[in-house]
Amino acid sequence: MAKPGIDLATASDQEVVLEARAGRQAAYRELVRRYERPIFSLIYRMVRNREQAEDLSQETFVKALNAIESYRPEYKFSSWIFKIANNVSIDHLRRRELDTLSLDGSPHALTPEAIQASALQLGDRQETALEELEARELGGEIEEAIASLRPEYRSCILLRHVEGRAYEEIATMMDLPLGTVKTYIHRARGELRQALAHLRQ
Amino acid sequence: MTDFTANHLTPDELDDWLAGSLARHREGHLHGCADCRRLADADRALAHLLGALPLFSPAAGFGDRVMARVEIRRPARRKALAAALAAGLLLPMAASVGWSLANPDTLSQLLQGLGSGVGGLGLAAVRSVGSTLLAQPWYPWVRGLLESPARLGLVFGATALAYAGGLVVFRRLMALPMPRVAHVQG
Repeated sequence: MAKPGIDLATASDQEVVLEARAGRQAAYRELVRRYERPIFSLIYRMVRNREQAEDLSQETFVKALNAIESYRPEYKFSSWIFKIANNVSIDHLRRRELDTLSLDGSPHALTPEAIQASALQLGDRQETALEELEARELGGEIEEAIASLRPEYRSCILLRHVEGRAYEEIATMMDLPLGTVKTYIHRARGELRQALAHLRQ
Repeated sequence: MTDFTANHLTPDELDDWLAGSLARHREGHLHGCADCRRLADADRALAHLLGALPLFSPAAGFGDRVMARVEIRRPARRKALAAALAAGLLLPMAASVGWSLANPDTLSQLLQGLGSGVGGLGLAAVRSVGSTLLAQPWYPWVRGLLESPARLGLVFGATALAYAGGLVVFRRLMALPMPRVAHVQG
């Protein structure tokens, strides 16, 4: 059991969690401080919208910290919170996909005019100044290439190569078989290699 | 002469190479095969690019906004909750015991009435099961098996082993690698 008054800045994640479970507010803050940037970055790269990424990151931390009693210290805290962040992002993307207009028009449109009117026009998008700023911040061709991947590939490649997580850990985080994770990462690497081939040339 | 066009590195071996743990005999192939070399170099460049991506920061005050929504449960509060739950269970039990002590005659009458009904039903059920068992064609064989102490011991041993094996299998099936956190209720 961690001693009360332990130095949170130098304590391990497990020790900080024990302090949080003992009701020490500073321990909760320390966990947020340690993981706010990695979690926000992962979610931002998944959803590519700052406001939504902020909301989803908050949701991740609130879920994790309110359920801190159910965290088992024999596993890495980072795996646990990344797992929650990944699930929150994937759920959000699925919901957003349902809300997105089809390129071929609304399935509820009955006449050809209504179908055309409800179809998404690719050239219609008017970027606000904020969106332009976000695009520049995320910018770079590498970010664009990551954004073009399927969400599952995106999570896996980010966890593997940006967060430096082991394959086994990613499989646990994403509730996927190890072989599937490897396949996703290999395919994602293949797609990224293709998308970025011109940079090497 | 070595044929470098066959037996190219697998994706797993490319991973091993990135991690610096590719088997020595496969290093030979990598050095001699232009296709594999190109792929490996591209993967290394990609891993380097991804590893160098910057971390983004949420807007200022993020921690405060999270903390405003977090419910910090103090151990004393948890103890009070546990005590309330225990009291919720114990008080009805104590009331029941108290009533039983204060009304022994009524209780006795109730139990007698219940006992005779339940007892009669139970006896009929046991008799029915017993006569069904005795009528089975395999009953004499089972009886013969249990008449010898050695065979009886063997049967008990085998049953105990099967039970222990079942427990082990059940524990493995029930052991999860991680607590499921996909939809933790906040």
